[in-house]
Amino acid sequence: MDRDSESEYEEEVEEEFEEESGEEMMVDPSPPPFVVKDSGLDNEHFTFINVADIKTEIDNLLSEYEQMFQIPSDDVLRILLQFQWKRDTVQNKWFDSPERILFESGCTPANPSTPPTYPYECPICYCSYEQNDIVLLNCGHGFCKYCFTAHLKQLLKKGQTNPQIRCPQEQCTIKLPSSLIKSFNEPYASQYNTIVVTDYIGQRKNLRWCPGANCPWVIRRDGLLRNVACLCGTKFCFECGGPPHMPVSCELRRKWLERIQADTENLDWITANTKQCPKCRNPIEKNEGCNHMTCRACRHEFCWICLGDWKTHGSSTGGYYSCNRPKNVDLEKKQMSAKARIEYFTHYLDRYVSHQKSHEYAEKQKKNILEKQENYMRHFNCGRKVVEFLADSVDLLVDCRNALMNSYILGFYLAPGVKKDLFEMQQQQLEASTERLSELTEKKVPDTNRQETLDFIGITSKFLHSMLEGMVDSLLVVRTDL
Amino acid sequence: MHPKRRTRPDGQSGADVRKSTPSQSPEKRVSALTVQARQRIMRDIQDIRKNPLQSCLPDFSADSLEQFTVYLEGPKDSIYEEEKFTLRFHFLECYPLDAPIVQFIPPMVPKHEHIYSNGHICLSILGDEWSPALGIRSVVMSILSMLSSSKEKKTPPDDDEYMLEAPSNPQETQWDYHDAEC
Ligand SMILES: [Zn+2]
Ligand SMILES: [Zn+2]
Ligand SMILES: [Zn+2]
Ligand SMILES: [Zn+2]
Repeated sequence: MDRDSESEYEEEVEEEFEEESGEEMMVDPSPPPFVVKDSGLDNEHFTFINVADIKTEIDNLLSEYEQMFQIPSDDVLRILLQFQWKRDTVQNKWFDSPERILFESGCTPANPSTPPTYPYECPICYCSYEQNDIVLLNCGHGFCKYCFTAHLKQLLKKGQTNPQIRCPQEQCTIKLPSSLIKSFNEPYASQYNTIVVTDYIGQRKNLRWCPGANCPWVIRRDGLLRNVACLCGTKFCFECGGPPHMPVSCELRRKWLERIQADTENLDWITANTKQCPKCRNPIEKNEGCNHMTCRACRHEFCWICLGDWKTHGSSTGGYYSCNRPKNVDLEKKQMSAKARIEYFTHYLDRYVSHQKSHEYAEKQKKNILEKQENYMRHFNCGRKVVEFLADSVDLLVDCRNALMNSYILGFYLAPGVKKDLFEMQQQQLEASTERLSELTEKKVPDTNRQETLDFIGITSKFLHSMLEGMVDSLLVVRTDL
Repeated sequence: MHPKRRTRPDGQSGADVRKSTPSQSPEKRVSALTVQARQRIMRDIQDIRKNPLQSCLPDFSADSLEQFTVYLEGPKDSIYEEEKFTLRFHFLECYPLDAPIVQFIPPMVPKHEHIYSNGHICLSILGDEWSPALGIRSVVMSILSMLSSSKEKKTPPDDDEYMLEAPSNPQETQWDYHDAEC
């Protein structure tokens, strides 16, 4: 998709959202077309659905059971809400005893109700009313319509999230029928609809709202991948809703973050922006994302992370240099010594922090990319299509830095073995290729090599995909001696 | 089962949460009760004046409707028998649509698994389960039944922790009610 159609697209999303806050929020006559934006994160595994489609899904479910059980839609909804939209449970319970499931779901009262006599005293305001002014529920509890409306509005205003709203009478088990709530004015009826839809999405493991601000999309996961890039531009983890962090699982990432938070002393020293050139000891400051350093004084080229000679790095030399593997640590040992444990941790932390910084830098590059594209077009006198590669390269770079950063968390926890060897090989390939891509994106406009950048976009994105998709959480063995 | 306060989903510590939502002291709250609220509070008070509750001595002398104090006596045959407690109601603008703020006033606080030493009460009808059909009488009765059914005098397990982070208004705490009677 080119840039122009993308900005058009954003307008469409905005329009759609404005419509949503209006009266007809659930009925969207022209849902925007289904678009997949390639971002290095694989969106083939996700489907973007709008709220109207979810509403249709719910309506279909309601009418299906309405026919199957021969009960009103209000009752079906109360049953589904009570049993977390679980078809099995609902069907089994229904076939066991319809009376029981209707009672448990708050459709029918425990005791048969006695019809009230009028004038009737409202138990909220204690004023007497004639039948016209009373909202009477099937439990026999009545409330004046002024109090009843005010109560519901107050609940919704305060941000009620539970769609099961009880009869206000003390101890009563009846839940209000949705048709009654929806008979109120806007925006309350729509708000209730949203509460129901949100409950449905929350109960479905394969559905999730995009966490982006004001984003109307609901995402359905069709596979096992976790990294989602929403159509609104928000990237997030499908499982925890946090930033995307494949290849590491949510749980290991959480553990890691807790651990490094407790270890700020180590962090201080690692986040230093200045190191000495390993050859001439000249202090070198790093203020770009690429880890391929050249000493200004002696022209020695080295790797910022391990301080090793750059010649031995990367695929360009054909040499296989495992900067990503801890040295001096006997990895095969079942139980590491205390000293080895620290060295092991520092190795991964060091690389994690490096990529984190480079990630931040890549985000900065991404922010400034329009300006760079303008410069490029002016300098080479070319059209908009030609400069797309600049944006694509930094987009990919951001994803790669993020994946590499998180890959060091996974590496830290992975137990030695064939899986880890394979993983580290993929990581090393991606790392080398990313460093080259990073160098290419940092070049000044006149020195930019479009063809080489395009080639590296192709190679790097292949490496990224194979590293992310190669790791299936359930098959990984985690170290226990850390 | 003991009450447990919900931990924030974003994993923020209590202190941070407090910073972002400065707690208002109920005493300092400027509240203008609606006409409906005033009428309803008067009705509630009349109701317990006419049909007094066992072990409950309301203070009818207060000159403001916003605050109402009830002196409670440990229910007969309960482990609190003969003890005296002070319970205070603060009514908000939209009472009875909004739940009243109800708490014991230290040091007259019963030692109970669901009552914190600062007087905050973990009781669902004072929070999520509040309904405008409830009133002073039903709240007092629920609290008395909480005391009656208690078998052991002990403070909540997380009392110390809660004292460090408790907002002055118990409604600002995200309570996690573990069982129906809680
Ligand atoms: Zn009324
Ligand atoms: Zn009822
Ligand atoms: Zn989104
Ligand atoms: Zn996650």
